[in-house]
Parts: sequence; C-alpha cells; structure tokens
Amino acid sequence: MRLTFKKGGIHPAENKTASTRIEMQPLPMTVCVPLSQHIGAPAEPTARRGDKVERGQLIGRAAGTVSANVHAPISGTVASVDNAVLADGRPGRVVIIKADEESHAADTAAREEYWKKVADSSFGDTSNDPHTPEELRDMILGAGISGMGGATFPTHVKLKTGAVKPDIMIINGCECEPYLMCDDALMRNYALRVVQGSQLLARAAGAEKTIIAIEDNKPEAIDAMRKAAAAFDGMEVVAVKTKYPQGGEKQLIAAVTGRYVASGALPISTGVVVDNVATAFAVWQAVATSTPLIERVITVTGDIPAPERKNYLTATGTPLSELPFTLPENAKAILGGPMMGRCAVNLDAPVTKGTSGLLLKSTGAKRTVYPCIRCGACVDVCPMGLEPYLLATYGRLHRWDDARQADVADCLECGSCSYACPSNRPILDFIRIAKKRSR
Amino acid sequence: METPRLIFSTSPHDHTKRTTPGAMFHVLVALLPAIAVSLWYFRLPALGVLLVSVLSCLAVEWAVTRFMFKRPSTLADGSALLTGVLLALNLPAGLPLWMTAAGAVIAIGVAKLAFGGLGCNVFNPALVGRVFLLISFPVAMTTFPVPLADGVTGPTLLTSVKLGTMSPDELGMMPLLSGDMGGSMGEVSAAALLLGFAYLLCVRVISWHIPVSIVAGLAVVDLIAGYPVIPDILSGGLLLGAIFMATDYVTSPMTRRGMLLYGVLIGMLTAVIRRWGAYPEGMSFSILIMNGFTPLINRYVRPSRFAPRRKEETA
Repeated sequence: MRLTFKKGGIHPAENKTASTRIEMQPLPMTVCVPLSQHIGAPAEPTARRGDKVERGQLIGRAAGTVSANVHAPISGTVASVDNAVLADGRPGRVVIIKADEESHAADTAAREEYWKKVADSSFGDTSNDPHTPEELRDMILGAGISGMGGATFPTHVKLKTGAVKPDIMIINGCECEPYLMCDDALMRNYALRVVQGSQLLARAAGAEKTIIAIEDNKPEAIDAMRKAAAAFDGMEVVAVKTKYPQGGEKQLIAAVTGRYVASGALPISTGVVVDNVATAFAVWQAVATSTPLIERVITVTGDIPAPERKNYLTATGTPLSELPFTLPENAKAILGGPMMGRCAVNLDAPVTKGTSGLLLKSTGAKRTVYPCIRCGACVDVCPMGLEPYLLATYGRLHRWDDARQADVADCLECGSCSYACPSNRPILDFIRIAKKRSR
Repeated sequence: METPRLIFSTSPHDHTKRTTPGAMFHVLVALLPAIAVSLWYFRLPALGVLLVSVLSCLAVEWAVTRFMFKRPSTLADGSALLTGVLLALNLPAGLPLWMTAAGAVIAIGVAKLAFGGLGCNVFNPALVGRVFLLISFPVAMTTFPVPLADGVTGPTLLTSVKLGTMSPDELGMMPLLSGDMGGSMGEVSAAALLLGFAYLLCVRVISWHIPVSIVAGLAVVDLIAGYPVIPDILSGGLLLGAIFMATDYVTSPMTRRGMLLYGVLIGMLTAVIRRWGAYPEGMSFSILIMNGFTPLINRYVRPSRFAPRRKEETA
C-alpha cells in the first residue's frame, strides 16, 4: 500500500510540464528586497540610503524571536529603504539596491564561479561537519533561511529544542502543488547537496532519523535522492502517494510516521520536524559555503509556450517581469502553485525566498456560482476531517463562536473544498474570514 | 512601459470540471434505461405523463422565479428538469394529465421553491409531489396499466401480496428484472434501474452507501419477518427510490456514516410499512420521513477529524 494520509485529498491535473533543467536567470541591475519575506516580524533594516553593499551582506536583521535575516542579493548602492506594495498587494518595507556595470560584472563572475563549485561533488562535504547543533542553528539564523515550500516560517525557530525533543526529521520533497517543478529540478540536479543539507538539518534539530519524502510522480528525483542518500546513516528516501495536499505538514507526518498532530498542537509535539528540500539545500549552502539565502530555484510555467516553461535560479528581489515569458491573455500571475499560491498584483513585484513558482494562467469565462446542493464533496475531500460547507456558512453569517466550536482553526487553507465544489462556491474564502474572526 | 493588467483572485486557482448541472445531467443519463423501458411497456400514456410532468415543472420553476422571486431564471441548473422526470417515473402511466400537472405544481412550487429553491428544500420535491397525488387521488394513483396491454389495468405484486391473492415468489424473477408487470412508470424494471446505478457509480455522481444500506435495512427486517428478500428488493419502488430518490444530494446526509444510518433506516421503515402498514408500498413515505431527519443526522454524525482535539490545559 502506498504511503499517504487517511482522510480526504484531491487529484488535480498535475500539469508538470516544465523542463527539469535549472537555468541561470541573470542578476538584475536593480533589486527590490522586502524586509518581510517570512512569517513573523519584518527584519530591521541595517543598511541606509546611499550605503554601498556587497552581494550577500546583511541588510536586515531578524527582529524578535520569529523573524529572519535579509541579505543583499546583488552588490551596489542602496537607493532607498521605503514602504512599497508587495507582490500580494500588502504593504511592507523594502530595500532597493542599484548595481553599476562594474559591480554587476563582478557579481555575475563570482556567481558563475560559485555554482561551478556547487556542482563539483568533491567540494563542500559536510558529512563530518564539526559544528554543534547550537552553532548550526546560529548559522541558519545568520543565513536568513525560512521555509521555502511556501509557508516561509523561519527555519531556526523550528529547530529550537523545546519540551519535546524530535526523533525524526522529515525532508519534504512532495511538491504536491500542480505545475510546480522547482523541488523536482533541485532534487534531480543537486541531490547530494539536498541530502547533505538534510543531514545538517537533522543534526541541528537533534533528530536521529531523517526521512526524505517524495511523491511517486517523480521517479527520477526519487532515484537521484536514493543514490545520494545511500552513503548516509539513518537516512531514508520514501515514495509517498501522489495526492494533494500530501506535502501539508500534518498530512506528511501522518503518511510517513503514522503520527497524528492533535488539533491545536504544533507538529513538534509528535517528535517530528518537517523542512522543505529547498530549505535543506539552502542550509547546506549556509554551512558549507557560508552563503546566505539570496537566490532560489523558481518554476516559470502555466499557459505560456512550452519552451518557456522552465526552472530558473533567480536572485531574490528580481522583478517578476525580468523572467522570460510571454504573458497570456487575461492573465493571473500566481506566486506558487494553483492550489495555495497568491496572485501578484503587478509584475514589478520581486521574487522572494518563498516564491516557488510564477504560474501564469489565462483565465476563462467566470464560472457560474450555483446554490450549495449539499452534495458533501467538500466534506469528502477535506484532509482535516472538517465540514467546509458548515464553516463557510458560519463565516457568511458571522457566527464566529460556532465556527470556533467546529474547529475552524484546524483548516490549513489547502483549497481542496473550493476545488471540489461543483457549484463553484467560494468556500475557502468564507472559511478564511471565519478563521480570522473567530480567533 | 505600460504595466499589463493582471487578474487578481484568492486561491485555489484550479477547479474541478464537475458542475452542479453536470451532476443533474448524469442522473438524467442514468435514468434513460428506465425511461426507455416505461415508454416501451406503457406507450403513449407514459409519454404523455412524462412530457406533462417535465413541462409543468419547468413552467412552475420559471414562473415562480420570474414573477414571485424576481430573480434570474434557474432553469439552466437542470434541477427542475430532473424533478420533472423523476416525478413522472414515480407515477402510474395513464394518470390523468391534469393530475400530473397538479403534482408538478406541488413538487416544484411547494416542496422546492417555497423553501427557497435548489439546495434549500428539506424534502425531496418529486416525492412530495407523488405523495400529494397518492393521498389526494388514491384510486387514480393505484390504477396501474398492465404492460403492452391497451386499457387493461392490474394490481402490483406488492398489492396482490398485501391482499393475500399472490405469494411474493409467484411472479418469478424475469418480470421483476425486465419490468413486465404493473407499477409506476419508472419502477418496474429492476435491470434498467441497476444499469443506471452502475452508470452513476462509474461517473462518481453518487456513492454506494445510500442504495446499499437501504437494501440492507430492508433485508434485515425481511429476514426477521420471514419474507423472501429478493422479490422484496426487486418489486415496488425500492430500487427507483434507493438509487434515484434517496440519493438526492440536497435531502440526504453529508457524511458517509450519516448516509449509512439514513439508508438503513429508510430500508427498515419501508419493510415495516410493506409488511405491517396499511399501504402495500412504503418507499416514498420512508424517504420523506428520513429526509426530515437529515438535518439531525448532519448535526450528530460528524466526519471524524484528522486527529483528536488537544486536551484542554487544566490549571
């Protein structure tokens, strides 16, 4: 029997048609770096207007417990530290850095040199890394790493030992969102680095066992990772069933370990820490090459010509419009996958640490909304065993107490209910309102 | 450079191809074998009842939404059409057409639109229409033409058994499957209904839970009462009700466990009415009774959560 979670789930069309090569997206001349690319408090800017900054230099320091450092993705001069409208339409502070010809050429050369080294497997072996778990956590904090699967939770906070000591580290390579292929590409091309980073993460968390979980629609990635992980003790690569939301933290823990995170509890209460494969890769970069998180792989895909569907190694802060693609008619520019991704309000918005993909979808005619016919499809597909139709009704009628009683807080906003509704009702939108207001 | 206009919406950005009118369409397709059988056996009167029922349902839906609700037409969702077909299949062929039309007015006007329209009704509209006719015009509603015999009418198997003029096994299997016996238009042929059931399962419009649990509930009571199970399943409105009426999304429970409870109780109630009630047939009554319990079932039979709630911290 294939490993998966028990309740609910959907099988949306996969549409994983992008090339699995990773192309280098040229460094931009101007970057717009948000100080909040993670969940929690925005970083405090440490650079001021007019400052000269080097590529990889700290420009924003983590403010408070749940926050992350931010670094300069290119060398240049800080043009401004200002408020701006971020990609998803919310306001936030950004640091704008402008490069000159000279610094741009130097950065580009250094970057090429660096990625040549990364590709050389004899370089950067971290299997006998001498750092203690505390030191590793500090390095992760220092490198400004936050979860790269989409939720962008600061990684060092997850690794902090609390009351429960984790025994299993799960590295999430499910990539259950349709369309996206950045994790697949990363695992195929840099399997060794992901495995090395996974080992470092497990050590930082104090977990003895590392399980790398990959959906079984990615056999090449599974093979590559199995080969790379063979030499490592306590490391296992498992194939899990292709079903959305297999990569949800609670769903993945259940599928791989059979442990269930109780309602209202944190995943760590089951003794498991989950991190994304791209996060593991970033951790290896931080520890082996002292490189902060300033670039990532993103998938550019959707309703664009097939040759344009590619994965790009992109500096954070790069405006979306610099990525090469033909904008379709009536386009939605979705940051992330089609299930949980957010729409970008404009294409000047920057790529951030959490941007796993830029999905360009051409939207057709508006779908007719019919009354709820109480078919129960939303109940069937809810991976948390909730009653989405009921929660949405509570949200619509402002019945916040009832929503709380019906466990609205358990909703992970995976969107399966809205996906499955034959009447096209905006179920998740009303649940989001109920979730927010019933807190 | 002019910034391109982007469309903004909340996630998810992908959607199933299933639609509400699509589900109605699938049910109509699944009813085609039963419709064909009834037209073959009962000929012109059956066609008359079918057409009048469908047209009246559509007309009532259109008129009420247009003139009383003053809302856009809801005919496109396909629900009124489906109710019209289901109502006809629950009536004897040869029912006076004005009675058929009256049933449609009650089904759509009272049972559905008075409650607020699609999705809001508590009781299955077609069955409310049928039961209204059964109570108002008991003779006409129990005058069943004999298949392929012009103008000849006869009792159903269940009626004969109730009157003690026939034993349940007497008819044999063939008429029960093919439908060569008296009964409502759509209920006579078990084979045609089972074909429709198989189709609905294949296209995943309904799950097995309600029909199977109804049959199981009926079988349990039959075994206790010492009544032959197979003829009881294949005769009367049991299969038509179990496959097409009780599975109506709007009036049946939301969870699988709720569906099982609902189905078993419908089956048992039907058997009890058939064995010990005043009527020879109890399927419509049982479904309507359990329709009334559906909100209660939804309230108490909840889906099991992903994991239990964390124990409240006590001071």
